Amino acid sequence: MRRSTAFLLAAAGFLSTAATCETDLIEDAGFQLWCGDRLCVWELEEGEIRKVATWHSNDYGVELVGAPVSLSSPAARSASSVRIEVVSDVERGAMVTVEIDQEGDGVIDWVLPVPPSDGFVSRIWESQPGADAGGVFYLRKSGPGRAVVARLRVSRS
Amino acid sequence: MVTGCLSAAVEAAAEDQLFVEGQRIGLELGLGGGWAPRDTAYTRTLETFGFEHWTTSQFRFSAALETIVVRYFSLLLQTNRLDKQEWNRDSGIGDDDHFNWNTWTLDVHLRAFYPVTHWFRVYAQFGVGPTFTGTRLYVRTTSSPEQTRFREVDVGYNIAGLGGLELTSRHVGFFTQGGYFYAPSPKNLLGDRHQSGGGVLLLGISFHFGSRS
Repeated sequence: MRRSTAFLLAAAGFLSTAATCETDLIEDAGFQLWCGDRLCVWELEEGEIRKVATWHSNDYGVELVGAPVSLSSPAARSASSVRIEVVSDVERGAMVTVEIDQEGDGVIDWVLPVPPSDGFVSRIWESQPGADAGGVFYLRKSGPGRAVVARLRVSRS
Repeated sequence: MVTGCLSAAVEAAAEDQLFVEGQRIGLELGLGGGWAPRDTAYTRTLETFGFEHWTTSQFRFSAALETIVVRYFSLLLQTNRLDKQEWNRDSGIGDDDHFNWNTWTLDVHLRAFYPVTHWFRVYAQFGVGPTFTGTRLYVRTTSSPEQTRFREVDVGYNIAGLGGLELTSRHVGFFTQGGYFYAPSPKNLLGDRHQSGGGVLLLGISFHFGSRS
């Protein structure tokens, strides 16, 4: 009885985890995985970033320092309809954008401006980019203000 | 007739204002429920960062040591378990992130009591003291697939107002106690606080000892 219960719980946990993973297009949506002073999953294409604490000293965000700054992450999978959640604290003038290169050919197909805010706010967009959203995701900053992004989650909607 | 009996009982009880048979020390243990506010700046921030509420424990526990100091008044060293909550967040990188907290108080209370009879008293009390909230965050922070547990203790303060009734025999009594705690803890790095107090209602058992011989 105990073994069967344990097996069922393990199977349920595995299926739950697998289902969760399959909905996310970006692996480290929380900018949580750091290898020293750089992000393990995201690639710094240009500029400078910094690991910063957000609401908790061990729940991190990424500060985009100066301008221009560009981070990229290849999509783990594609989806025709996506839900984009951004948790950020962006000063006016920082000009932060989320961009999608759907084909991975270096051409930006879709740009989502992240509005400025006083403190951290969560914003959600539901989008159907036309073709499958996949390829490469970029987080970019082109203005001088302070910008911290705590979460950029793209999942199948 | 009834008024006369009651007056006699009050006078008898008021002679020394001690527990039954002159005992001065009391120990109280209470169990019950509590209702902390659900929606606070602290919980809204957790939601902003993607957490979802999982469980809230409304169980409350209280332990107090009481000593009678002057007529109608006693001092208590009292601890109360207040709010306990658990929150989860879909991390997208394996196991869910998990965050929980558990708040305790350690207060000094001043109790004003009135012995209606030798075996029954009513009281009201006011207390202040520190609040200790232990928080635990389980999250991945490196490329290692294992989550790390980060423990912190937030020290704040609390103010409490309580009232109660107690039925007591020589050494053992029973009480019911209710009131309200204002306990603005825990606090996050953004300055948001949770109110871990709220209303409480307890039933308990008391022990009395330490009589002057």
